[in-house]
Amino acid sequence: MAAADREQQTDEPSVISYPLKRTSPFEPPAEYACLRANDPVTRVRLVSGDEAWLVTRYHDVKAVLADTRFSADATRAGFPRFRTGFPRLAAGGVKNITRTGGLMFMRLDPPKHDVLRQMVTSEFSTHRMRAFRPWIAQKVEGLVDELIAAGPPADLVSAVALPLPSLVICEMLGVPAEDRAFFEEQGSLLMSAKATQRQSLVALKTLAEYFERLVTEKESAPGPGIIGRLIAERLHTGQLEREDLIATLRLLVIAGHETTASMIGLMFAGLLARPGELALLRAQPDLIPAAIEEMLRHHTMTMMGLPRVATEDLMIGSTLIRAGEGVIASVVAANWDPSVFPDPDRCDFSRRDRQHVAFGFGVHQCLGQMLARIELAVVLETVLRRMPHLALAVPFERLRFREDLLVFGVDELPVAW
Amino acid sequence: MRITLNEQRCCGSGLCVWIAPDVFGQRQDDGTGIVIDPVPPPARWPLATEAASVCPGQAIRLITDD
Repeated sequence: MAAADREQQTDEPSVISYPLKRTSPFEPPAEYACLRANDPVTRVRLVSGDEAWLVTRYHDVKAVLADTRFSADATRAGFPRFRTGFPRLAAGGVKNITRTGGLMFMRLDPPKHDVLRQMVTSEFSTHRMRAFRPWIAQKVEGLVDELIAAGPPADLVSAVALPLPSLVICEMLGVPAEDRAFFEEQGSLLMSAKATQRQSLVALKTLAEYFERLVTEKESAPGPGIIGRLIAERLHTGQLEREDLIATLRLLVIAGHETTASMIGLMFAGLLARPGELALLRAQPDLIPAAIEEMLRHHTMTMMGLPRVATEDLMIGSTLIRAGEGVIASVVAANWDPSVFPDPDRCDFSRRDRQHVAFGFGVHQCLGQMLARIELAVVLETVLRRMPHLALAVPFERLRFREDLLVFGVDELPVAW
Repeated sequence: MRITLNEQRCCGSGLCVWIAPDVFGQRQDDGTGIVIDPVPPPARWPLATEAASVCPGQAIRLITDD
């Protein structure tokens, strides 16, 4: 092709296939650096065939997420769909799929979003999560006891990273711990790109039916935990519709599981790949909170970014976004923006900076972020203390990282100690 | 420095309580942020400022009277 032809072609707005691929597990796709510098709001095409604007600069990402004129409502036309073959949700939510209705508040806009979120906000408050810490610590001790008894080697992902978040959410919701395996299975089917559309929809339905049954059981004797409290204080008082209650419960199970589990796995994969950092944390455990923040930033596992749709014509920087056009706020790219985080590729525990957007920004910022921080800190402290010679039991190159649908992670982490 | 918190904008992330627990709290019933020290001494300004800057709802306002 002649150079002139090529130039003429690039006059047309180019459309990038999204998601971009990683070349290294601990670095975002290399293209982000170039996009941030030259094309910070760019057109991408998703596997669903939808086109959207990809936003890669830190301040633009925050501006999009803070602006409720960018809607998080997945039923709106133009909302970017990450998966192929999924029907666009009808305005009635997932009723046609689950027969139990409601949209999760993560996919609702204010004012309804605020009403529903506020009903569970205090359950995740900073004080409440701190008070919960001893319970979490006891569970982690138990998981590590079992792992040590069984090995070495042992898989840190299946022994600790996966069970912990589901044990925690079972306790918080007030459901039997035996249901943990069920939540893990449904959760991974919903979040996995490997699951077929049918499997995911069946998982959604199964989860809704499970909560439907549980709520019916608990209606006569609500008992402790979030479900009991929501029934007694909100459902019975008429403040909360049954279908919205079910949707909130689905959200609490889905949002906290795969995400926390993936981050625990990535945290140890990263530390084991960089033994100097592991040694540093052993020598100075008081660095752990700062280390967690830096690993959240550096490893940002929300690799697909956060989807929104413009409800009116809006500017992002110097780019006009038309009403009805989809936007993806790349928290991964934002967290590696060198204008905010100098030398972003360095995982640097002395970076005293809590400005990262690993939990998002704006009214939809992760409700469970304090819980996630505590789970990560407790697991890290416990493993460092109980497994003084922690090391990978296989060469690093053998680890399989997965670029699943919504979260980046490591499949297995065989370790010795 | 005076500190105000717009309850309508607050989404209850609890970040302010985590970063500056001497200045901010969260209501028991709905998790909404509250200012427990609206006119903090200068020693508390750096963390109060950081809390305001990371607030996801941009609900915290710092008023400096120069």
